[in-house]
Amino acid sequence: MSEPTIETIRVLAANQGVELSDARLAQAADTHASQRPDLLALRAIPLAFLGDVLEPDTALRWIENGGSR
Amino acid sequence: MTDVKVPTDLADATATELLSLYASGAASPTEAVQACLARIEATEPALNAIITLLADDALAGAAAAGQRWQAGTARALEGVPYALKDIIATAGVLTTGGSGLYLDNVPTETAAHAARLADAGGLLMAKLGTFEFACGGAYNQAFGPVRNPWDVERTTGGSSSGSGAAVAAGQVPLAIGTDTGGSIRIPAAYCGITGIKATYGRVPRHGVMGLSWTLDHAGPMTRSVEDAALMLGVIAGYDERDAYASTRPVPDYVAALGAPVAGTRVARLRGFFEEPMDPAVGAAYEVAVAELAALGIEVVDVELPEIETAVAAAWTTMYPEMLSLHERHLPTIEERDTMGAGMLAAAPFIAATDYVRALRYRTIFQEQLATAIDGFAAFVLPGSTAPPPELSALSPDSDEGNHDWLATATRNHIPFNYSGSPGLCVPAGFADGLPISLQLIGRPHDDAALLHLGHAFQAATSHHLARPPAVEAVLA
Repeated sequence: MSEPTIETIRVLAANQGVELSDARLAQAADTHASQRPDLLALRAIPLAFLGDVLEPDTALRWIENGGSR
Repeated sequence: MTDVKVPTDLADATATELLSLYASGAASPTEAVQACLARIEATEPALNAIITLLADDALAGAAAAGQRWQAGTARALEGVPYALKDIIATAGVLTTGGSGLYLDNVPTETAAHAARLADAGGLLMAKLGTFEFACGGAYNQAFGPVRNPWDVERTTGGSSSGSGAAVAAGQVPLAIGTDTGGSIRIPAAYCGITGIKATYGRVPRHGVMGLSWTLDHAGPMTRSVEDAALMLGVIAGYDERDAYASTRPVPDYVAALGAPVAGTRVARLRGFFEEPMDPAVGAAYEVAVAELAALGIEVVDVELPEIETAVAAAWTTMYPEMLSLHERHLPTIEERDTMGAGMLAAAPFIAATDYVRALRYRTIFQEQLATAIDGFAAFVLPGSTAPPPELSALSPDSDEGNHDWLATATRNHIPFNYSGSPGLCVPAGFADGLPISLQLIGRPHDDAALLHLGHAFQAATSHHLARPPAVEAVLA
């Protein structure tokens, strides 16, 4: 997937009824560009469909249990 | 008892010392409040830490607290002044969020943990400066920047900017900050004070203007670990209005202090957490780690395998939650402070699948932490890897300076908001005249272990006793 450009972000914003100035769009594009390598690394990590399936609340249980599931 | 040592200035006393002085009759809550008000009058023009001062209320409360001490009905914080970051709701008292958008917001209900401070006899002295909505940046358009007592040309960091400055300057002994990516621990590190972000869910967030419910924490900012333990014991505990509040019983954190630490093992987080590092900060940090080891603590190097991914996952979690909470502020985004406006602008474009993936990956990172900490009492890492920047380097109206500062300042903190782990910062020395900090990270709900280690460090060092130039100048 290609990196979102300012124009892409402008279209996505308009689709959500959000109007952003050019300066804010540039900030948004810079933020996404700086985080993109690590975001791609996050996307590349396999998450199980079968067996040991992690859900968002698994993390909450880990915390409440003092560091175990 | 008449042998309790009275500090030269009660504004420099810790909460623990004040309680001892009250109990002995050597000082009264009214005298302490008057000392804090005098310190505020002397330092506030240079620091700009306070949004709303509650002098009359505090003095009236101090008189009542004095009567309770005389009657033998004093509570845990009876007559101790404290202050709150101004994103924390206080019934009948202006709560601005540090924003020009909420200049007339007077809540009808007090935040859960703030009510506990009042119920324990604490005296609310002030509502404190903050980055706008805890993310706006060092230059607050509505109230101006809070200035660092160690160098008033530099930022306190944030977002709990007023809390850092006020406690460091002796305006109050206790303050509450909040922490979504380091906002207790960064200003604690920059201002040379103690700050603890306890385990996620330990301190209820009800009544706090939210930034990201998965990452948001509230906690003590103080001048000693002992005070942090005292304050945490008062504010921690279940509240049914916080969906993620822990139901676990609250331990006696003060009782955990003072036990021997020799023979304890601590894992030093290397790699990402020390790179890049300002050379002077790095040198001072090495001395601090050596001081920790001198307590008989074995320090062993470790690294975390996917730390960059965890940081990205944390930000991917924060942005959509920030947008959900601040959706109503999108139409007024150009009226917001620049750093927060930039974050909000970036938020709509996080894919739902990425957000959910980040929440699911959270457990993978947590278990990597569990593996790395196995056999150790805590992790140790720098509370800051660079000195607080000069305010002139942080643009009030663009990303210049702000974006890089945010990335640098949060990198040693936000992973542990994401994991929910407790984190404690303690003063650990100086680099070029500015404080540096040692951070301890622990297992969830083992906050007491951090307080135990931090207290032992402060018992053996004097870094936390140093007073900043902004205070020395008014005392001279």
